[in-house]
Amino acid sequence: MRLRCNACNGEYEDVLPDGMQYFHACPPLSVVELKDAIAAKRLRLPAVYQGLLDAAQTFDRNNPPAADQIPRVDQVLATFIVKRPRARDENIAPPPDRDTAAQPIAGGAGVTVVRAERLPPLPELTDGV
Amino acid sequence: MPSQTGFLGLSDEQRARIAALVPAPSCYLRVDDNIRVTSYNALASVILSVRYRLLDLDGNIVAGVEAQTPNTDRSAKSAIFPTPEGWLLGLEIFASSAAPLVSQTYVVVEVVRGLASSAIALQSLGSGTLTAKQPFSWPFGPFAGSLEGGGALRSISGTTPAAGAEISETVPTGARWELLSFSTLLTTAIAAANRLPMLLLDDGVNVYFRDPLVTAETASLATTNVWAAGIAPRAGLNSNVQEGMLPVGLKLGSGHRLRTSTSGIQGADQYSAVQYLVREWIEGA
Repeated sequence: MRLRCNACNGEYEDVLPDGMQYFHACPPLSVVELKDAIAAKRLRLPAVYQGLLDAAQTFDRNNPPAADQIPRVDQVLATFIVKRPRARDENIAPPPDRDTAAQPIAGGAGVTVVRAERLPPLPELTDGV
Repeated sequence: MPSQTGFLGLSDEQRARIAALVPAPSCYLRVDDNIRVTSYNALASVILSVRYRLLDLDGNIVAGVEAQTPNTDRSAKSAIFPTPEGWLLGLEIFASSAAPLVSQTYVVVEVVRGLASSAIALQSLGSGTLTAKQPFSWPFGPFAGSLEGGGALRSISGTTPAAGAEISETVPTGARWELLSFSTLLTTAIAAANRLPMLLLDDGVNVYFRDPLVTAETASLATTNVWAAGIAPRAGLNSNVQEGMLPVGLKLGSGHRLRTSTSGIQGADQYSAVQYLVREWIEGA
C-alpha cells in the first residue's frame, strides 16, 4: 500500500515491486528548514556548529558566490544533521538476542494510507488499441 | 560422560554393524542434541525447508523434513529441530516459497544441546546464502560469511518527498549496500532561482561524500538528475538531464543515508521518480 508520513509528508510504498519491505525514515531538516528555524530562534546550534556557520557567512559576504556556485553557508548547513520533530524511522532497532522480535526505531507522527492496494501492474498494450 | 543407553548401550555386534554404515564425514547426535537453524532474510513470503538424512541406532537411514518461516527484516530468527539419536549424514536447506535472490536469505546451522532458547551451541555445521534452486548443504557446504559473494541487485523506488523538501534514503538495519546509481526528477516551479542539486552520503551523523551537479537548474524545468558509479559527468549533455558521479565500490552500512541538498530550492519545487540501484548484502541484525 502507499503511505504518507505525517511527519515529513513523504509518500512511499510499504512493499516494493521486488517483494522487499521498504523502511521509511524521515529526512533530517533541509537547508531551507534549518535557515528558517535558526532565523526564528527555534534552533540553537552548538558552539562548534555556530562557529562553522559564522565563518561560512563571513566567507560568502566577502566572496559572493557566482550564479552556478553553491554558497558556502548552504554547503555547511547541508552537513548539519538535525532530526525533525516526531520523525518516523521504520528501520528496526537491532534486537538484543536472536529470539526477540525486532521493533521499529520510531513510529513518529504515524502514517496516512494514500492507497490501500498493492502497486498496480504496468499497463499493457492490447490488440485493437 | 557418554550415555550408556545410546550407542554404547548396544551390543558389540550392533555397534559393529552400524559403525560399518557410517560414512565420513558425519556428525553423531546424542539423544539431546538437535539442529538449530538461524536465518536472516530480507524478502517477504520466504519459507525455508530443512531436510536431513540420519542413520539411527537401529541401522535405518531416516529422513527428516522441517520448515522455518524467517523474518523479513533481516533480523535473526532461530528454530531448533529435534532429531533422533544417530549420525547426521547430510542436510540441505532451500527456499520452498518465494524466490529470494542470492544474498537475500542467509542461514547459520549448528548442533545444539537442548531444545529451549537456552540450548547450548556445540558445533557449527556451516553458514551461507541460499535460494529456491541453490540450497545450503552439509557436508561439503560452505562456511560463508553473509557479506561474501556478489550481493543481490535491487532497484529501489524511494520516498517521494513533499514539495520543497529534499530526498533522503536510509540503508535498512541489517543491510549493507553498494550504491551503483541514483536517479530523480526535479521539477522546478515558476519562482526564479538557480537550483543547485547535490547528492550527499552520511553515516547518520557525519557527511563523508558529496557531489554537486554542474549546471544550475532554473525555473519551470523538469530535469532528470542521475548519479552513477564509474562515469565522468558530462556538462551540457542535454538540457533535461544532468549527470553526477559516485565512487566505484563504495559500501554503505546500516543507517547510512543518501540524500539531496539543493541550494536555491523553492517551496513549490518537487523531487519525484526517486529510483536507485544497489547491490545488497545481509549484515544481520
